[in-house]
Amino acid sequence: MNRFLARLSWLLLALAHAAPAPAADALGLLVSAQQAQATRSFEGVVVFMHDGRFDAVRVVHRPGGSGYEQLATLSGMPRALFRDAREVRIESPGREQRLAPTGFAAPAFDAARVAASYRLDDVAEERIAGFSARIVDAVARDAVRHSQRLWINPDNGLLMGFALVGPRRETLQQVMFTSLVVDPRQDAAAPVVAAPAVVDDLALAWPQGFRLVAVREQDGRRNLMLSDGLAMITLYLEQRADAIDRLTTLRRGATQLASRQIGRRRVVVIGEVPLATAVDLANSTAQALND
Amino acid sequence: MNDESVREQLSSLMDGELAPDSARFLSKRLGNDPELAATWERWHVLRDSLRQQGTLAPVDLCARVREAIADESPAPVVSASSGRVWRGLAGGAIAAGVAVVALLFGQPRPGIEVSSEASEATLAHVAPVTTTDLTPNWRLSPVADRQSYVLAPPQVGSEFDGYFVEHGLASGSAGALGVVSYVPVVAMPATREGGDVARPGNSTR
Repeated sequence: MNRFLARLSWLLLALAHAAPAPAADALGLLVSAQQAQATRSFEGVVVFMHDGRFDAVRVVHRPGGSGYEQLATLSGMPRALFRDAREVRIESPGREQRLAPTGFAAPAFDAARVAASYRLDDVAEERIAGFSARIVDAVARDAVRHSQRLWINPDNGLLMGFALVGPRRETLQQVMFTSLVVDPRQDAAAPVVAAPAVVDDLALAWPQGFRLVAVREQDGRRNLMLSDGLAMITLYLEQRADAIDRLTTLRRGATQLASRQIGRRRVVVIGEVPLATAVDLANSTAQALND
Repeated sequence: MNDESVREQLSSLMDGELAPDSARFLSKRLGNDPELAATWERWHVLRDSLRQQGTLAPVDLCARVREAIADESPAPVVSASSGRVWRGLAGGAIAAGVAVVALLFGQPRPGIEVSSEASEATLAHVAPVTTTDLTPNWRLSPVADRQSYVLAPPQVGSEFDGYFVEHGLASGSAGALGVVSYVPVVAMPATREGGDVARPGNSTR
């Protein structure tokens, strides 16, 4: 009997190893990835693939209250971005652009919303920049959003790679570390803080699975951020001097922009979502604001 | 093989993406087809103009390749057995291929005569032709530098440049991806020349 139980135990263990990892593991990795952004110092080089080309970018990340980011292109046109709590500065030869800090607090990871919009699979393990990385597939459950593939280091939670995947399983855009140095010290003083609740007084219809996570008023312009837990959409509501009826669409990499102006009100939608999602949201918001 | 297919192969050869066997074949054809050779030269001039660099391939490259092939196809081979004929032809093709590839990927120093390199591409010199010889040295010649002007640039609209920047920054601070969201902000800049990127909403308000 004991021998039978022992064999059964081995069989069950083998089956457990052979079965696909449960979504809970994938969710746990996603949570750790977001936490790592707020607690880990690292620097390295990423390769950014988009529009059939490659770009290499050096990245330095220091979290915390006095933290900062520095990014600089290593290929193509020289360009650098510096960000800290006071300002954002973008520099290129002969040009310097200063922006106010974005000031959006990172909302707590919304596991339920992510699970409702994506089917999560912890599919495999790969080696990225000398580190092991679990591959998490977030497969979109509808056509409102793109699927995502994320490479996450299981030890420190760092996001080692990220790919946006289109409806035909084509890679739309990909970022991957090719070298990485991680500070072994973890900054425990900067945990992910839940963003304050956002009052949605607009009564607008958001794309399926998205919710309003941040609002900012600036120069008479309203800036809204929507999230489905992974994908982000920024929405600008503006008053314009010219009265026209126009729909404009632009794309840069996998980022789609749809601008819809009706009369003097303009809505600009921008995000890493399918063009139809951006256009539908721009149209419906512009119509609602003019009703 | 139709013209479109040949042009695609030519483009691949420029990008260093053509298979070694095809590269050999195409380089031979370049030596015999003046129209294709002219296209090849135009593409190089165009690419180098876009890169604002000196001309990478000499304008009389094909003539020099033809000379190299002629030098490597001595008359006695014609009267020899068929096997020797094929070996001679293959030798010419290899010589032309190596000449083209060396010019493409070798980054010759200023002052080095290209014709002398072509004439050195004899059968004895090119005997150990390997796949490595026919593929670019990625460490010396990054993909981004080679392809950034060959493929379509990202669409940009000056009025909306600032929106892309602000979205990338906002996604980085509020999104789940963190610093990864900043990468497109620096890697996909506005192409508009002069002045700062327009801030969203402040142009006509």
